[in-house]
Amino acid sequence: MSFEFLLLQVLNGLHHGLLLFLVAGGLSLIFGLLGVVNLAHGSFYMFGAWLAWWASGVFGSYWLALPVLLVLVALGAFGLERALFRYIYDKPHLVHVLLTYGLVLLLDEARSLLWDDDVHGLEAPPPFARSLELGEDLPDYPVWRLVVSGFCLLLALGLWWLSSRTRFGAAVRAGVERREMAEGLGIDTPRLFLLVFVLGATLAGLAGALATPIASVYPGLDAQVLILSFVVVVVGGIGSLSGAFFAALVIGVADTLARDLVPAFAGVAVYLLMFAALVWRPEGVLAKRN
Amino acid sequence: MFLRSATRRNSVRQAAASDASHESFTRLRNLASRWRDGPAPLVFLLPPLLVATWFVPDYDLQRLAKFLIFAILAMGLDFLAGRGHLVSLGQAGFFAIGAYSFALLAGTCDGEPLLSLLLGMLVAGLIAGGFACLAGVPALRTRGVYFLMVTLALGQMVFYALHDIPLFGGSDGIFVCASPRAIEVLSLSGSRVYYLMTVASFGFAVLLFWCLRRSFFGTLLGASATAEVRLAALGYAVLPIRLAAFTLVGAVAGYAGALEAMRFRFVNPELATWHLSGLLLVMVILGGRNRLWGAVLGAALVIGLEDLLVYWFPDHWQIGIGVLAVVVALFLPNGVLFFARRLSFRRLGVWLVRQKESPLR
Repeated sequence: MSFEFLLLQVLNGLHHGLLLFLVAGGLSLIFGLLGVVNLAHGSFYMFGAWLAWWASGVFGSYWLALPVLLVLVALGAFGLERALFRYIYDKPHLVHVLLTYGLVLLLDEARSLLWDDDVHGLEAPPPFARSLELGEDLPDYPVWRLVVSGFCLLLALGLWWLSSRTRFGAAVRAGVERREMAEGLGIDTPRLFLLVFVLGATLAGLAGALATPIASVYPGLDAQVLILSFVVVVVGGIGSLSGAFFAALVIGVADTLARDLVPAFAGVAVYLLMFAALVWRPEGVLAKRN
Repeated sequence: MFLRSATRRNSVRQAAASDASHESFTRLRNLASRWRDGPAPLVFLLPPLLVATWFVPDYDLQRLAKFLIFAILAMGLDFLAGRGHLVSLGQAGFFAIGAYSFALLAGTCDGEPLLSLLLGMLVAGLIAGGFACLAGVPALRTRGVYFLMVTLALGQMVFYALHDIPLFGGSDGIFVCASPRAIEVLSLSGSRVYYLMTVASFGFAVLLFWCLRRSFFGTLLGASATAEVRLAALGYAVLPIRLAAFTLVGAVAGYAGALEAMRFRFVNPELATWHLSGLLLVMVILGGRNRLWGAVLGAALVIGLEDLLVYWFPDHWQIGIGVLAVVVALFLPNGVLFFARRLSFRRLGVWLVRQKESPLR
């Protein structure tokens, strides 16, 4: 295994981590602000991916499909928040788990009823449907992966701006830190909850749609992403966007490299990392210390 | 240390009782709750289960055994989540560890078949308990939502370990390689023996969790959830209490896993899937949490419903479980037993107390 190959895998890991950040960032904010354990967050990712595959076929273009699927995912999240989630904010975690576990099953069956249980692939959209040739013994590198990584970085910057430079972000951070105080200052928390929920779900859907042209879509996508995002949130600390960002990068790289270096423990590596992090700092490695 | 032991115990009991869900019971309601939370219903439950051995066809015995195994698992999870507020989503991991341990160990002992099977089950439980103890040290440093996510990751880690490490046979799994004589016990003609072993295990599990709930340890666990600071102030270390409960319940899950391995004589990584852990939580809440029989009732309802659903909609039966989970979360968050109590026990109790305490008597 050459040094260049490892470098390439690190790049792949960063790509993986950036996509993971889009899912885990929303999950972390929803935990931090709403206090809801949302097991169904991975299902938004899954729907984003499957809708991207389906809508690209229907409209004949990925670029047309993208806005349509984002609107669909956002509408779905809006409906779920209004119909179900807002009634359980004050209930214990056990109830959150129960409701969202039921939603995971229902959304997975909905996926199965709408489409099928097969594996599907999608070509990278036109201007980026090329690969860079890197050399004799290195695999070609798809341009789409670079584009997505760049776009995710831009989005992360945008989220940072939104959270630290706008009134909305300030309100969200206030809600995460001291909810009663924020309410006392006149912040309309139910509306804030709705906005954050829909934003988080849409980001997860977007991540699914962006991943589709390289990775294929298949059943079981939801659990895979959900549990990795949980690991990211545990390592990064609840409610912290920057924590989620750095944790996602570390987890993404570790997950990718472990597949090359220790194939027998590929699936386990990330979780061992998480346990190490827990022993070191139970409140999240990057979380603020009280 | 400075308080006398009995005084300290009373303080712990008071600390535990400060939880809003522990109300002060009237004598009659106390009696009703002793019925509800004691092992007495076993008297009515065991005879039909035993009689079923000779009158129910093999396939249905298998389904009954599945219910009993899940009831054992759910009772354990209820002790953790209901009493100790340790909502674990990783119980399937310990279940699978027990099942795999049994599958790998069953062949190593070629003595009296029943005894060797029993030994295998106990060792499987011990191994799962050992893993729970190891994993519990870092996992129990976390609280609430973190604990939930960490245990979910734990279960997933077991899944991948079983899936990726060559010894465990990948996604195909491995066969339970018991000795020929032991296989004879488990074979179709001997499946009644297996069923009776499951019923006995269930009975023991009920007694075990009943004792644990009544014991001082059970009180300590409850207090560690609801009055952690007061417990620490009384000189108790909270982590060992939680770790002991987590280890014990992990061991029970491993034992149940060994029973499950015997049921199919075959194990695969699907035993560790997180859907199983989720289903266990549905059982615990549906039945009524922190109630000895709540978990059993929940297991019966969920397994029964699953059977019907698989029969009616073989391809999309999970819709029914999903709807059930959502409905329970929204409308029955305290479970069926609580609902039933509101309907009958409370009113009956109040009525009886009034009869007894009326000044005209």
